[in-house]
Amino acid sequence: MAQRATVAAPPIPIEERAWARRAQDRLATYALTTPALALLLVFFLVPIYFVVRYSIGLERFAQNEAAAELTGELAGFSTELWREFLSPGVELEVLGTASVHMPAWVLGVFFAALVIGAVFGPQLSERYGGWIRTGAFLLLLAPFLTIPAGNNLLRVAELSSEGDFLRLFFRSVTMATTSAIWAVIIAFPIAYFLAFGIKKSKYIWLLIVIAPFLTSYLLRIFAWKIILGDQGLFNSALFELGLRDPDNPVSFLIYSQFTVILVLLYAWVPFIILPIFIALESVDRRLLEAATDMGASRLQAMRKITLPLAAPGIVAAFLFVFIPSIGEYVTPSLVGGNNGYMFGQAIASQFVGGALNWQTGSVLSIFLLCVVLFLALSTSRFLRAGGGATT
Amino acid sequence: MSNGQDLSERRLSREELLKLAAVAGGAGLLAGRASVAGAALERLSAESGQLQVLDWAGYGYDGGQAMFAQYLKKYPGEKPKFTNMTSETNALAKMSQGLKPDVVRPYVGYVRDFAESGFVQPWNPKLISNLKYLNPNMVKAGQYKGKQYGIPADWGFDAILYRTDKVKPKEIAWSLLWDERYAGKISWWDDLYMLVVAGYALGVKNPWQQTTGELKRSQQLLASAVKKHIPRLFWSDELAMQTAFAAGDIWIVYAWPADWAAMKSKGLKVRYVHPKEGAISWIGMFMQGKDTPRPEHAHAYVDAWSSKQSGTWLENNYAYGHANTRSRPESQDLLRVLKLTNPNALKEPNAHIDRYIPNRQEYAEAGEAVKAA
Repeated sequence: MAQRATVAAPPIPIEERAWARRAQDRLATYALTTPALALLLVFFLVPIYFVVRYSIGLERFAQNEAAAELTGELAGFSTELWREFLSPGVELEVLGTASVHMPAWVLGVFFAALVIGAVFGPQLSERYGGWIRTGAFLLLLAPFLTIPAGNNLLRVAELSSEGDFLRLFFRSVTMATTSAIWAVIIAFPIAYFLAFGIKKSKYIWLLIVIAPFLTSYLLRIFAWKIILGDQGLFNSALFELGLRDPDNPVSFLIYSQFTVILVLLYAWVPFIILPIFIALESVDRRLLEAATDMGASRLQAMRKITLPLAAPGIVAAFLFVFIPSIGEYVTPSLVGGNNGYMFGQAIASQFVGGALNWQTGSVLSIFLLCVVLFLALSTSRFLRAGGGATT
Repeated sequence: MSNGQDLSERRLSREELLKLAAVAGGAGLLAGRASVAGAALERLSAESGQLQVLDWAGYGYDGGQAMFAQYLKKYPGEKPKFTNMTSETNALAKMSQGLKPDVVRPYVGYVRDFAESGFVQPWNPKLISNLKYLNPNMVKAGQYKGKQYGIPADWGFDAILYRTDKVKPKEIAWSLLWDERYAGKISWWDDLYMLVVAGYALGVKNPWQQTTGELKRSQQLLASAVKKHIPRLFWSDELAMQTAFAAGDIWIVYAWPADWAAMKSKGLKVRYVHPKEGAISWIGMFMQGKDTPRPEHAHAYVDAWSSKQSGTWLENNYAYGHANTRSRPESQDLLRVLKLTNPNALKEPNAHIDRYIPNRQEYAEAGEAVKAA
């Protein structure tokens, strides 16, 4: 008997299989990210929408006219509060002598340009890209970088304004920048030691180093109050050693900008060791060997290879400290005193404190959010670019 | 005994009479109780739920239980529920966002603000049995447009507390708070009342209603002190201020009588003084939530607070005065500091009672400008 020939099913075209697979992957991605997106929408985007409405007078805190009179709120759409906030001029003082006055928007454009220069320097010019980047960084940091010493922080340049909130914002950026820079300077050697100096049990050492971060933040702040007080641990030691008269303690240690900066960098250093460590760990050791083989000194290898490759981690570490520190509230409330009053406290005062002006508070909040978003977006591109080692 | 006749048709025997009387008395008793119980049940079911009290920290289950002990005796098993307020504006914010307290306790300067906010309603004075014992000046201070919006509770002063072993004042005046000799050892209250104080120091005619120009001068006086780092700390948390004072970080502070008592109890050499321009006096005012579903409970709560026992406890333990004129503290020092023997201690010219500030928002903005100096 002859066997009946079987007819095989026609094969599915490759393109269709690939499309089906891509559709499946896309569906899986949406399914996995939907909860996160929903969370973002409900707890971030929707509240931001209402805060924006408050800032332009479309919403108000007062429920009736009598209460509105108490709070002095706007009754309808208006940009008056934004104009009040941004219209005062700013003054840039250099070395305590020369000063330049300009409108706030000019300063904003100038700083935005500097940020772009710092991020896209090499793309803007092949020859001078490095100089553009370095120069932009220095100009960005100059008005805000200080050496905290006593009540009057030593500095090269200073930004100020006739507007109270703008002036407070510049002060907060100064304190955040100083905290972030010093935190990175302190964290980098520790991360370097962990990455290159320890061969065994590296991650156990890492855990030991970040252990303080696992304790209560509030408890750590209260501990600093005890250490830094006029009759605290530090001053008492000075009195016992005869280095200081008990009636003349070192008073800038507590309730000052110095205290806020110290507590912030103490709180953040254990946290930012991690991104720097990860960046240093990922540096290919063979590059360093090759550099040594070609006669480079350790310092040259560090400057030409290690630092550029670790730059994304360093920038990430800086941002991890800088961004939350601008809007810091708890630390300056507890240890900042009058001298360390920050922008975050002014925002809180508008919402739940004596000022009780939600519309003004919304303006300050949205402004801070815009600054932070701009910085995060522009430097995220820098992080993706990765720096790159030079030869 | 009955021979078929109805009770109404024949004479009752003594036994029958006694039986009938017992039955009638028992029925009347039961009926009476039932009607009372019915009324109470009607009240309770009409005023169901816990009494909601919006009050400052320290006056609920965190230490202030003695103040409403008599309320709990009257309504056993019906414990009030407390929500904390950190300032009058904080309370208004909470109420604006939906919190509906039955009782709230701002201070006298905000009576008008609260009365006009739409969140409160007047009390029925007849339901507060202790009202007749309260200081009449304080009771009057709680009235607005002829209605009793506020029932006075605690009272005291804003004045200056300083360490006598560290500070030698040139004069007892508000200017001690910005005395350059003690720069970095002074603490101000984080509130717009600092501008009122500055107004008194500058001799402004009415520091509670300063013109834009006067407010600017007051602001500049305070801001210049801030720039010179004279005040070290703006305190909003009384406990944090007391901690800093006890630790020796500050020697001169804008303070309340309770702070004097607290520092004295720690063995510090302190003095609580009324500046020559006059201290600021304040009175806590209980206010009733608008359309509260528990008015009887609310009145009973305030009545308990207004009793002599509660007042004496408050004075002995919190070192604040109490509106009940029969309350007296055990401490002679406290009697002196609070000037309790002077019924006019809170009034002009002895002190400047806290009052409504029409341009409060301007003061608040000026206060923020001082802090940002």
